[in-house]
Amino acid sequence: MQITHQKKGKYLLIQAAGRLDASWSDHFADTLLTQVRHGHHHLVMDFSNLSFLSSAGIRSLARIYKELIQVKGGFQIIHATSFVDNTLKSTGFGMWLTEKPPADMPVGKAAEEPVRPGQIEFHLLEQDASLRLLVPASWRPWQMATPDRTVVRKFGEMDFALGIGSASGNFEEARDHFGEFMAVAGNVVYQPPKEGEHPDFLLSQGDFVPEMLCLQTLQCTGKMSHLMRFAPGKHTLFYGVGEIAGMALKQLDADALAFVLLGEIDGLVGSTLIRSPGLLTEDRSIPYPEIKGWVSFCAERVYAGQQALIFGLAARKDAVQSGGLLSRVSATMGCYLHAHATVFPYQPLQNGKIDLNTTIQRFFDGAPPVAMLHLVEDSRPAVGLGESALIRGACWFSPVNNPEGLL
Amino acid sequence: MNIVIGAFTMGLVLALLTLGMLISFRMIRFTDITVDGSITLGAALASLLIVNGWSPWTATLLAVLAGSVAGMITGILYTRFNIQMILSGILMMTALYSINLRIMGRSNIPLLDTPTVSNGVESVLLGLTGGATRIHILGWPVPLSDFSVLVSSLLICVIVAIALRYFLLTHLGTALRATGNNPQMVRAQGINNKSMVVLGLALANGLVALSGALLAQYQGFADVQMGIGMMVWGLASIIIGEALVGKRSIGVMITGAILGTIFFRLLIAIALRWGLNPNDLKLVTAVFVFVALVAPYWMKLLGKNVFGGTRHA
Amino acid sequence: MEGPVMLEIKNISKTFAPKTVNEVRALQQVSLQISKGSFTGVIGTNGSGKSTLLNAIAGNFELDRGSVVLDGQNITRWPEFKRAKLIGRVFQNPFAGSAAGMSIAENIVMAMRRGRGWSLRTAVTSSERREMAEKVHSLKMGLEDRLDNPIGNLSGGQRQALTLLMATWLKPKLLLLDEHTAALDPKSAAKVAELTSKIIAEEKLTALMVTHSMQQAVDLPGRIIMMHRGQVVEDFRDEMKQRVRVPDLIRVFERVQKMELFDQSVAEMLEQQYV
Repeated sequence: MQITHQKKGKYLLIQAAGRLDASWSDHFADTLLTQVRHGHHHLVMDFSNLSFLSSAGIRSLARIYKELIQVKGGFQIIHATSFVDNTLKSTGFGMWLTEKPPADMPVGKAAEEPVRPGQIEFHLLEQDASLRLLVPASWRPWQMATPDRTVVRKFGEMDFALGIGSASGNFEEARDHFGEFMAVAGNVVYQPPKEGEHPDFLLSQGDFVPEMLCLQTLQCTGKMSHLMRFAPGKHTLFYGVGEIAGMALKQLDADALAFVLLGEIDGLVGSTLIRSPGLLTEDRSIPYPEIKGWVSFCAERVYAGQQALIFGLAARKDAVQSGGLLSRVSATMGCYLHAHATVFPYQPLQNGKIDLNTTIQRFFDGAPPVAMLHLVEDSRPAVGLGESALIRGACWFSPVNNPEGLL
Repeated sequence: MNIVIGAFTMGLVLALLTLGMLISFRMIRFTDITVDGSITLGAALASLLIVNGWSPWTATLLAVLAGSVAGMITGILYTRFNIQMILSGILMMTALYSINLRIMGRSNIPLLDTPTVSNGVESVLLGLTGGATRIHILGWPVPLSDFSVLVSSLLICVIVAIALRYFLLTHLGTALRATGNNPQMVRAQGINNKSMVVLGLALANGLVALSGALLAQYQGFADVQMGIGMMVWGLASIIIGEALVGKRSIGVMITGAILGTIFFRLLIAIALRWGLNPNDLKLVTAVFVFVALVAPYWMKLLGKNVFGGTRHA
Repeated sequence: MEGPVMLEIKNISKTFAPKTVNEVRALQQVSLQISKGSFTGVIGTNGSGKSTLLNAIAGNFELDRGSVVLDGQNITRWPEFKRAKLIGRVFQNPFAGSAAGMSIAENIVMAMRRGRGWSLRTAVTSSERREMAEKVHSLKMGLEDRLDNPIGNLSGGQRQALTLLMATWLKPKLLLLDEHTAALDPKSAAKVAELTSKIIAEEKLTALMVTHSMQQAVDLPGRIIMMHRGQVVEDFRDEMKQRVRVPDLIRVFERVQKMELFDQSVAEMLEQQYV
């Protein structure tokens, strides 16, 4: 079978010729889902040359339909041959069939896509929304963890946080289990400090509000004011996390902000605690090679093609005095950053202005997260891996109205 | 007729050498150059002992033992001291040249009117013919002494062939053959492949020395140069034998080696009769072995071109 | 439950071509205990030392350090052929385990007498032939009627099946399998793998199998040892082994490789970046 596609306005016109049966259905679905991944959420399928459609073919159409519905897209089938028309109607999928192409689809040969350096759009969500920053625990490597250095925090729907903590209730139990965590909109993901372990998570449900014993935490409470959508253009194939933060800082013209970033991964660079800081018996520096037993480093750009949920705080370079709990990142953008990323299996994102809570909820309702990283920029000359980057996605952000704690 | 008898006798005597080489070259797959030295060793020791009044049987037996020791030393050089296969043989062969001169005391021992291993057969035959010293075979007169040498060589050759076949089919013989095939496999079966190589070379050179001892008695002399080129002759005989009867089983291979040697001696006798310069004999043999070694490869190429590569090699 | 110790390896090390540019530290202080009746898989990257470990047990070379004790006997100084009395072995190369020019029967007869000393009795007798035919029949390859055919005429899969049969003909104290299905076509590989499991289970053998297939390792009833750069980096046994799946093994490999790439420069970079 032959599949061709053509961009027509907001629609993608698919022309399929041949037989859509068991031997082609997987290829057909994969081809179209790749288009969905590329942000085409409105498909028009011209089946004038499709001679046969089997149940396997219908199943692949249903698979595509399900993905599209999730992102508020859809497809319609035009010019179906009588066999395909009958098959679809008699199996109850007649609603996919339409007589004519949608009225707003341009006819004739599509104009060349304008060459854009990259596709970025900003949406204003709430004019005066902002976040309040709280740093109730500020562990620095490699301090010994003691009960008085920890604090119990609850993370509700208005809270965003990252840091190092444990889900265990008391210090004695938590001692062996301090690891990276992040909290976004009432969902807490935490990484047990052991190599190869999957991250675990706590979700607020009903009266339950997730609670962490925190050794280090940067917590923001409030609402997001802006949404930025980004997608690759002709010249920009991906966006660095520091770069995105830099653009957001510029948009807000603020000294500091917090952001939630959700997008398809080009590659993440980061490290993870593999031994709980609770096991330190004194404040000290850990030299190489002992350090290898305490943190792991990803060693290559990882998790390409999967989806990352990132929470981070960023501050303008010239506004920062010491760096504090932020590390310097992105030479070009020149901002300070602290971000944790959770990796989820891929799910498509709806285009346009989308809601933070409902979008994120979908990820937590789906397949569990596979990894968590403290993002770092690998700035080593020649061999450095650079910074983490995303291909396309959404970034919600808001200024931090008391950035003093960061600066 | 005398030429034919001579070729047959010579063939049977040298068949023992070929059988020895069958063990080293084909069974344990050892390119053993010791042969050129150990055949002379057998001849030299047997001659010396016979000249000094020892029984030809004892002399021959001791020659066999000496040959075995020579083979063993080659094997030990190879297995214990990790010297290359060919070099181990060359070292032993070179050493044997001096040893043989030492044994003989000069470069040649004539055996004139001394008893030989065929004396017993001759006296039996004399009894049968009623004292006539010539018998007629197919109408040709043949000296009884020559005929008795032929008969005794045949007897020895047949006995050795049967014993060798039996041995190669025993557990020990099976292990010996496997050593040449796949030493790694032999080790995995709990057999010391190095001992097998030493044993194989001892057996092989024992047979070669036996051949040498009988040859000296048949020819009537031992010469320090007599071993030169013997390895190539033996190899030629093996190849001819394999071409004649194939190598389906141990029995066939042994028969082939004997027939091959006799056939080879007949060819040489005919060639010499037709006027081939005896000095060219070794060159001709070398060329023959060369052709025999590369011919299968050429045939394969030819077969591929002619039959489109459908036949198996 | 684990039985008594059958094989005990203590701190063995082997460096090939020491003090040259080609120096390979093939085994570094490897210690291992294999209990009686267990079936252990050894996995690792190329050059990780997994085959070297098997060769060290089989006695292909002399160790630089350490000891190997099999069934209570210290075999560290035993030559390979002597160890073969206790150890059955199947190689990766299906042609390595049998003598191509000899018949099936002659090959088997050597295995039937493995480690029993050598006699001058005829090797292949009719009673032995009957015993062979019976056991070869269990392979269901129709080879029992072809005992006098040269083993070299058989396919790789058939030869490997026979080699396996030979290696276990006299119950070995330890069976070493060195990627013995890797060089076979998929169908033969599956057949030989199945045969392996069957024989090991029926004879209650103690076996150590090097494999490049993580799935094969996961499917083993016993234990998985993971090697890297001449060291045992992971040992999945008991409940851990029940839980482990292929992705877990891959993660361990990734972890080991990550560890390796974590050098001084990463440490310095993290010192600045990690907060």
